[in-house]
Amino acid sequence: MADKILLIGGSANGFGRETESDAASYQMTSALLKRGYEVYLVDDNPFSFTASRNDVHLEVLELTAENIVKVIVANGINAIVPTVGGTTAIQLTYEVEEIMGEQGPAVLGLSSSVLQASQNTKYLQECLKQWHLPSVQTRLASTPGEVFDAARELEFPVFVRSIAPQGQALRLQAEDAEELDQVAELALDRSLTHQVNVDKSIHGYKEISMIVMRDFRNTNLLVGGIEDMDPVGIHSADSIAVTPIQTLADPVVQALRDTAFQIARGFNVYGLLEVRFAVNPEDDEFVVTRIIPYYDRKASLLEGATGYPMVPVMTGLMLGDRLDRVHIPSSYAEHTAALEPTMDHIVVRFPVFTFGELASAGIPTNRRLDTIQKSVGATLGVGRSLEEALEKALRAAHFSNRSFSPDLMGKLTDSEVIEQLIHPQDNRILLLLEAIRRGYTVDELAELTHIDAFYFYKLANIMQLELDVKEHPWDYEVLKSAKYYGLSDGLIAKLWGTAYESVRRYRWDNNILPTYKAFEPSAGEFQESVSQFYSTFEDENESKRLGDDTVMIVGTGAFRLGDGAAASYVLANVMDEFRNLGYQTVLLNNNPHDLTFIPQLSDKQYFEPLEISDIMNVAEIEQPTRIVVPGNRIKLIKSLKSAGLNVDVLVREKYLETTLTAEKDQLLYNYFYDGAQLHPMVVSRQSNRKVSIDSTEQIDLEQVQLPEMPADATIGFYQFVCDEADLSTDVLQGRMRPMPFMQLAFLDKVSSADWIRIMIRYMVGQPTDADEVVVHATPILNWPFNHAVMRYQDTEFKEHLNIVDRLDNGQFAMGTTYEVD
Amino acid sequence: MTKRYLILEDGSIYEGEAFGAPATTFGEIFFHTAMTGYQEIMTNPIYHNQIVVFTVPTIGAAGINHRADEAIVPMVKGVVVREVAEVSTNRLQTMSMHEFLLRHNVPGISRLDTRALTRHLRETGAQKASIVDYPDDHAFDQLRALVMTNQEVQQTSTPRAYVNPGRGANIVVIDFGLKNGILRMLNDYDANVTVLPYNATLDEVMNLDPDGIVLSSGPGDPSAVPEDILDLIRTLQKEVPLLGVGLGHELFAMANHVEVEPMPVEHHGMNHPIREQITNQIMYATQAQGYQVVKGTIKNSDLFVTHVDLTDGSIQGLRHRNYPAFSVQFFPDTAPGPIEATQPFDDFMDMVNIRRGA
Amino acid sequence: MAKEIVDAMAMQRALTRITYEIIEKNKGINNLVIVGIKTRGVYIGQHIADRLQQLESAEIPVGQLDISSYRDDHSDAPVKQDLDVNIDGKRVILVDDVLYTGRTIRAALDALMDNGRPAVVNLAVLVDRGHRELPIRADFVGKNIPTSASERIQVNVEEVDGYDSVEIE
Repeated sequence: MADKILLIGGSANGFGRETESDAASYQMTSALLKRGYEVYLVDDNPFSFTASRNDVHLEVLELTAENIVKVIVANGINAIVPTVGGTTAIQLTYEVEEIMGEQGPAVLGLSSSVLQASQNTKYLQECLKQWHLPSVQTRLASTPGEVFDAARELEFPVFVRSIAPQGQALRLQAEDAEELDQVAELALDRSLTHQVNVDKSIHGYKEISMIVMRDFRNTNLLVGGIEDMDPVGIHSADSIAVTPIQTLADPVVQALRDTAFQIARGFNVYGLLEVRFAVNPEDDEFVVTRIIPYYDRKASLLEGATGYPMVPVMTGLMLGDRLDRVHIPSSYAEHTAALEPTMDHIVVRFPVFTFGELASAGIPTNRRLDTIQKSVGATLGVGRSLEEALEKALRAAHFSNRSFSPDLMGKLTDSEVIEQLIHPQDNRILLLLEAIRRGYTVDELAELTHIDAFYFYKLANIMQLELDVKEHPWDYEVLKSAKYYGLSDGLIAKLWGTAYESVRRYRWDNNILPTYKAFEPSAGEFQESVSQFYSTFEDENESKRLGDDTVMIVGTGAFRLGDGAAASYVLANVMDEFRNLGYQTVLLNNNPHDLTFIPQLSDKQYFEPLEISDIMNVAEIEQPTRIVVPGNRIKLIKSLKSAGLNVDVLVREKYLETTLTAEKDQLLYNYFYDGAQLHPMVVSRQSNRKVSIDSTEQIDLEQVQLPEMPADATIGFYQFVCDEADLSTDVLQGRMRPMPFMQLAFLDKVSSADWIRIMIRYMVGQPTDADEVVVHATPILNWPFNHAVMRYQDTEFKEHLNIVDRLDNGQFAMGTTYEVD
Repeated sequence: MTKRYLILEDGSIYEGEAFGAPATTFGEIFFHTAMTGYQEIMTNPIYHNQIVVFTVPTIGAAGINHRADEAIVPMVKGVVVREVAEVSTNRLQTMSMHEFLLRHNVPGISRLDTRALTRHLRETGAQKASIVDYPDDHAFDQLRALVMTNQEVQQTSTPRAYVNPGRGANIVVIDFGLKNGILRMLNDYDANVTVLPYNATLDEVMNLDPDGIVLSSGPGDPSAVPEDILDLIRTLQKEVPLLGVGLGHELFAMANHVEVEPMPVEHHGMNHPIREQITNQIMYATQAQGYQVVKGTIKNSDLFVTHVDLTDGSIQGLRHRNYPAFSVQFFPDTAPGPIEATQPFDDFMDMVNIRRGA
Repeated sequence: MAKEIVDAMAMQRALTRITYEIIEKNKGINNLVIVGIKTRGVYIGQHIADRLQQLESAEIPVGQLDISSYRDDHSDAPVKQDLDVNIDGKRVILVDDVLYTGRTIRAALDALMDNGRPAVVNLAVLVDRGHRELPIRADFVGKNIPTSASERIQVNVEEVDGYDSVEIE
């Protein structure tokens, strides 16, 4: 078996890829090292946490097949892992296989046919047909009569596609005979061979994902199923997703499970496979639409939702372990890997979009959702009812987003409501509530939206609850019921026209208190070892104080445009360092794809929204020694301090000024502030598309007069921004700001010192002698390269949002990569 | 919204909300961890006289449809769940959970901490429970005075023989509390099935010239089933290929002098890894098991172990050393449950057809 | 073109069934020896032995028989093949992949008898395709597949062919 294993990184974060694959590769690296392998990683993502490990061989290279081949040859790599770098790694593995052929390294877990099928829908459909599994139905036709024969057989609606089209490929939908009359001739004429494919349309079907594990001996296990509330036609990442599956009967679920098993077997997958289905709500017939053979957002959603150790298990299986004997960390119960997870809670994943941020920056976008992903982040809401899970997810996603103000909806005309029901936008959940409020019946809504009526009954319950709350101020039973179904203190306070503290106090006085339930994969059947909790309002609380010297870390929630991935990187380092220092760590966060949920980083995790009340509730149980808050959340910090808690603020520059209008580079003088004095680090430059450090053009920063720090400044990193791009030791005109997380992550990554960890050691008053040396050293000492550049790219915005304007990437930070020389 | 209470024999009280019928009910309480298949579970005769706690937080969203019935009426005495979908919309649906239970006079209780209840039952094991309007002393007295019947099989077995015709092999099913899934499976093989009551005699069975015998699943304690059945099994297994399921498996074991005992923790779910000994493969199947074969008593019998539950090592399948006869503790009929669990039917029908051909 | 008529799963199931039938017929595994006919019969025999071992935790000897020199289309006197297992007084299960005319089995029986005096010999085959030319019958059959004499049956085993299947062409 291989002894040098290469993980292919996923490169920049962007639409469709948050930090989930980095979190997976971090865990996989730990498992591989433990089993004695040498681990190599190729990545150019400045926010890669795996790349910051000093026990992996890192190659910072652009992710191209040529570069990967070079690394393979130069280092004598025996095997590559394609499953923890998103689609990038899958595509590259396929290309590397083509280039290297038999001489190439082993590809762990995946056959070349599954690599191909995940990239090429046509090939997938051919495989499915061969295995007699349900594929998208299609018929060939060369006359209008044959087109109609096909439509009669497949039933409307259908899609007509020209074969070998002249000019741009056409895919025309026909809802009825009249439309087909118009479309058939056109499509036939477009074809060089005068032929068309007639496909049965799956628009409006239910979209279901099944994630299975398979070992080399063909043992299969279903980790879980995820149901999208939104139908096929809205990108799965933009859909509100629910697990466990709610609206399918057992025989359908079993058929999907078995089909996923057959596909995993057919492609000889060792490890994880996600199979995506479209299920016709009329007759439960289904087709397979996609396969995803790598760790992606749905996998991390299910890992969070079930507590199943997905990464350790997939690592073992790809190395040839058997599912019943796979090595998993001893913190899990012995049978856990082979037990199919079953849930006694409901998890809702709620997407977070970019439109609000773009609109504030004056960039017009079309908010309509379609088959191209528009969301950049997500939150999880966990509860014991769909209402509760949905309320919590919504609250976690949008506690401060203006485009989710319910007042907006009241202003829509009836025809606008109908238009948006048919062509949904990012804030459709509010629209659905508004439609219910305006008296549309459930059946009408289900027909217009293709959303299962089940969800409308649940939304109607929420509406009714809010109404009850509003009409019965300070009513004990109503309050109890509202909390039971997940309404926040803040919302109730708003409906009662009071402050949230008053609602909170009233709850306390009436003993309506949160209870924390464990996530574990047996639904209470077994005594499992658990570290993950969520709140609900029931009888039994299962969460006890972890210990008497803990650090509680407040996460940053959903990724939005901006510093999501960088914040995730910073917090992951913070948590790891606290554990190194001997603290137990408790995490509070709600983004399942976030690095902070890596199991090695914390002793206990709470999946919760991050409003003040959520944080205070957990703080009351845990009574931590310290609590880390990223960003200056003034109200929260005040509440925590008044509860006698010791707060460490990670200074965060959330809203960067634009660099679009700057004519020249900005000069950035970077400092570490140790609580008493500033220590110069390095000078960097920023322009619209990049941040760069040139270690050959540094000046003696000791000579530059130190900017003044406010008296209440906290330990951390700051930068002095100067519009005059000429490097000089003269007194400069400019302004001091906290160093943005993107730049902090970048500096931390390219420096030879672990700055974030040093900061933590200063925070707890335990800097090492080496830290003192680093902090006082001349800047050049810590920069072991000539140039380091971090770049932002626009391409993602063009592809996903059709934005052609030049964007202010320093502000939005998508598609960030770096290079050093 | 009507408040009701679930009370347990050990004095526990859980407050919740009523759904289904407003009746007061008694039964033995157990929890089921499956996430799908609520209707099949409620109508499985193995749960005759029992109160089911669903650990999945919401049931009912896929509606009620008669194709998912395992018996013509619900068999459970009560349903306990966190949330019931108020109205369901599945195209197969004929009514909602609430209407279904109301029609059959089965009470339900929702909006209670079913996870706390499950964790409690995990510690205490099976006990008597009641769904009542008020949890007063009178309610507890009645509950404690309740004597559970040991006539479960007699009460759920068909009183007289009937035929489920087909054109294939001639299969006799002995009904100890048969569920429809077993008939559905045999239908898939186009078997000509005759269902006989639990007290069928050897002549009654053999007069039908069976190509194979199925000992059905059923409720209750296997030792409460009349001894004559064990003699019947001992004779039949020599003559005809035989498959035992659930209670049928336990009786097959007892007929071959293997002992059966109540389980310390019952299995009701579909997520346990079950290992097939001969291939070392793992599969998943629906389990509904309150009794288990005593491992130590197999060694000196003519049976050997074919399947084992990996979570607790309990025996899930047995086979006769000398005759074409075997049995499984789990449900191989996928109603509800994983499809890979149907293998025993394939094996049984292979066995039947090979011997018919020979 | 070759068409798969038994897939890997069905092939595994057939071997499982044969194993159970062997136990049933022999009232256990005492005194049992498996002899596989080269090449694929050996691997199939090994699969059966593995299964018996899983169930009974006792190792079953597996011998290999090369019968090429015993074939009746071979004019020279057969060269005796030494079996690496003792079959004297044993209950021998002779294993091959396909049973066709029966001539291979006859040759195998000759080769077997040159190596000792078994108590009983039973025959297990994965596929019986008919067209017997000798009075030979298998005791354990995985799959009866009626074929035309012009068709070819190919049994693939993981160890030799990389995958398990039965194909017809």
